[in-house]
Amino acid sequence: MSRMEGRKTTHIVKVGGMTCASCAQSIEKALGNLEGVARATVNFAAETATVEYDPGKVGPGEIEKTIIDVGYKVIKESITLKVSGMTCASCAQSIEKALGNLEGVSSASVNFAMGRATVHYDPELVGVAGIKRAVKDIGYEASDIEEVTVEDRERAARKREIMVQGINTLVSWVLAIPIMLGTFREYWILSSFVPGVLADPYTLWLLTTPIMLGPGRQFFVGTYKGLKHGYTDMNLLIATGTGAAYTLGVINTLFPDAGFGGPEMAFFETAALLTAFLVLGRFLEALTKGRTSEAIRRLMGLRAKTALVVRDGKEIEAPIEDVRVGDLVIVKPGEKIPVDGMVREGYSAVDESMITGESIPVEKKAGDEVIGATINQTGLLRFEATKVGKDTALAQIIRFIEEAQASKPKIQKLADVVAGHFILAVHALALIVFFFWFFVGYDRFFTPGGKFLLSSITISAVSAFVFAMLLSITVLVISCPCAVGLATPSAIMAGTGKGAEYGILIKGGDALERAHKINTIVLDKTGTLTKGRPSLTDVVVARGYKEEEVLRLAAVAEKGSEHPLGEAIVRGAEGRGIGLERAEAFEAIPGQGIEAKYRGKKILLGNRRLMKDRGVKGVEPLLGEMERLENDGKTAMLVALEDEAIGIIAVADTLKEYSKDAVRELQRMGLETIMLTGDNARTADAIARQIGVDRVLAEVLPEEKADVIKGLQAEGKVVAMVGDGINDAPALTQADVGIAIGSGTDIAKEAGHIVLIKEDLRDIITALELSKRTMRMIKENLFWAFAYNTVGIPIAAGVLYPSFGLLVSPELAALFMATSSVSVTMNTLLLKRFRPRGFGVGGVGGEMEGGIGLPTGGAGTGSSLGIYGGKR
Amino acid sequence: MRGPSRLPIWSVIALSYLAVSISVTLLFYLLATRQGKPHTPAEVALGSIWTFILSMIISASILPPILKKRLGVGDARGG
Repeated sequence: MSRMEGRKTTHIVKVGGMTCASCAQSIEKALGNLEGVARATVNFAAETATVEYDPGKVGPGEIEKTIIDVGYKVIKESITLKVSGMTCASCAQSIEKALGNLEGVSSASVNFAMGRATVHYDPELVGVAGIKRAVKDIGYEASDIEEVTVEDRERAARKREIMVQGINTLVSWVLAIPIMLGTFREYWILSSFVPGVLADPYTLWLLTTPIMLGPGRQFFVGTYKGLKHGYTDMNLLIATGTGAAYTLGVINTLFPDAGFGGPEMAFFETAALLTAFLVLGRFLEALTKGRTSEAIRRLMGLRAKTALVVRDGKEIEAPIEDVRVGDLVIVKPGEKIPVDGMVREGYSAVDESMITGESIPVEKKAGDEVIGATINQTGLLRFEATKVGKDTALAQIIRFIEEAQASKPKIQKLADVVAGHFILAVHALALIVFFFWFFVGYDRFFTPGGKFLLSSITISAVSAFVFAMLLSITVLVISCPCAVGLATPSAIMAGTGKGAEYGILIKGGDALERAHKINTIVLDKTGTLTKGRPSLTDVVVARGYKEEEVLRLAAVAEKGSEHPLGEAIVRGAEGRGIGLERAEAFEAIPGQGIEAKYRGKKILLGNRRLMKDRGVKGVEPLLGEMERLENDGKTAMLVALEDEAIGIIAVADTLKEYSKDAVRELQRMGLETIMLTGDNARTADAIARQIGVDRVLAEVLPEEKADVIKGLQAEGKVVAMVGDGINDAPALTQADVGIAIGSGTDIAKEAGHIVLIKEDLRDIITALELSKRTMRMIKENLFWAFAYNTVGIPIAAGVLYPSFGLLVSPELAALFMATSSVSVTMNTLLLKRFRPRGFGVGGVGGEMEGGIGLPTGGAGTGSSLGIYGGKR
Repeated sequence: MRGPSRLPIWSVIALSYLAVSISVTLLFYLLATRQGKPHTPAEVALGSIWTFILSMIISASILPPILKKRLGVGDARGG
């Protein structure tokens, strides 16, 4: 997957075969050394390499080759096509050549006898249709047999890894158990049932060798590949440990008098059990690793493979890559919507939960947008494709999360520094430990009878060399940079993946890191807290008139109006089921209101000045109510029939559902809530009172919003800004955390660090909670990873031996090491249990537009529509 | 994309970490043989090999980046 940004290109490669975090660093180093590579970030947990490079100096081919050279796999998309029309082997060569010349095709292999072509390609550069066309252009026909997507291959690679490590574990344990029994035959009751032949050094050698050559081979191969490129990784620690133990075992077997403890100190059990535990660790890691990235894999799996498209008046089933913008696509009930588009015909309910997290199906009719990968539930829809391929909302979301998961927050810098130098430091420590116990420690502290930790086995007479070697190997084996390296990326993957489940897109680790520190939240009013368009809120009637009648007359007068206030009145009347006729005449009076004629009678709708100019009677009793409405931030209009005031109609921008709940919850979380608006202070205060924010900043011009945020930051506040991702872009960027809300499918346009797909303000709380949980998880992971190494390494180096005569055996060290990285991953998996907090909805229902008919007995002058939940 | 002109640099680097490793191994050997303790020749030999392997791993990782920096060879590692 490649993308151009200025002169730099970003190439994202799926990498297979990484076994620990230091593998990621080895790849980063190798890629970083390529000329033209500006930045290389490898995410071990996500198994991706993101490379920014200058296409003039280096290409994707070299990048992928480097990854393979260092000893890892590049997982690519491939397709096998049935090719007809070939008559000889040279036809196959021609096709291979033609395909090889296609941009984006990395390899093509054509089998003449089978009539098959297997092509590895970059889907960003060439599609299946392009591949087929290239075959057709030179006179052959290519048709589908089987398509293997990158996620299929990734899944298959993961399964293979689990299977290989499972077999390795089984083999090593089947052999290691008899080795252990044979080695310790003299202890406890083992001699009563363990045959003597098992204790023979040659038998132990015979049993250990297959472990070293089979399951243990991977450590040596990995070490060789790393060293070939000048890099050290976790494999080296293991290879030096197991290799040294095995070599000592062989020497002791062949030359019992060499002075290394003789046949009694075979060391074969050390090599065998070390390998068995380490392979078990890799097996468990392979099992758990994939689970942290489940969310993104699930998103990838949502993609439809085919679409029913109308072409030349015929309905044809086309591969998804062949769908073009402007194509008319048909989706039957129960089917997946293949790409993004605009409904042209039909009516249906669509389940968009997989994209937006919204569990209630959304109604779709002509003119509505549909999102690819969502499920059409009830009716048949015909829609025009508007976004295809990498432009669809789903593709954007996937890219967004991939980039977020590849990013590294500041907290990881410490972990990276430590993990990067860890292996070296451990080798240096192993050398120091060896020198110390060989030259000083053995003479000073060694007493026969010392014990291994969690074991009844005592250390009998061994030479200084064997003792020093044993401790040196244990230090190598117990240390685990994997846990340190895995702590942060695994938590970020789980956190961002969980966010995506709820329609919350977190742009990277930095956003997560900053979000949990914020103490002030600035909420844009229009479009964020409110719906951003006026709605009918109140109808006040003069004595002798009915609410419905006043509303009907006002709506009839406004029927032809295109003014937002007029539209709000018409919408409000229609919402109450009032049938509206068209007025006979309509005239807009600039700055004052309108005049209309209906059934021969004159209707006036407007401000005080209009009424005064036209000499309308009966206005005075309504003025008190009008002022009260205006003080509530509403736009109030007087209605007159035949020059007599009959009531007041008020409209206002209404609160979004859950605005008040969200603000209350944010305050409960200890955040200062500030409302930011360009409206006048009176309107702003009225809205603020309803919502209950702590502070209001009114009459702020759009271009001043970023300065306001800057001012708050200057006061020492850590500020989050919530607003429309497009209009509030500068303020969102200025804020420590910018939260763009209600983006729908236009994710790519958004500024801000967190994007909320839905318009539900409660998602802000979910995003903040998720960031807190993720950061806590990262800190916990790092704590345990560092604590494990900080405690484990000194014990392995023998600090307990002088005082307590206790040592860690290399086998136990291997067990500890194997469990440490698994425990970090398991801890991260706890994030899967995260659920957004529930909210009480009391008092919120009335805030919705259309909350009709809660009469409040407005001081004898009429009644009110309780759109603001009967606040009056 | 390592250019052919870099060959001498890598030779210098290889020589430098070999020199460091041999020095540390010699130190071990001298200490082991002159300490006046009854280490067998096999122990001294194996100890020397172990010392050489560990010091090679350490110096081969530490020295190249330092020398490359001094000699003006870049590293664009991200992260």
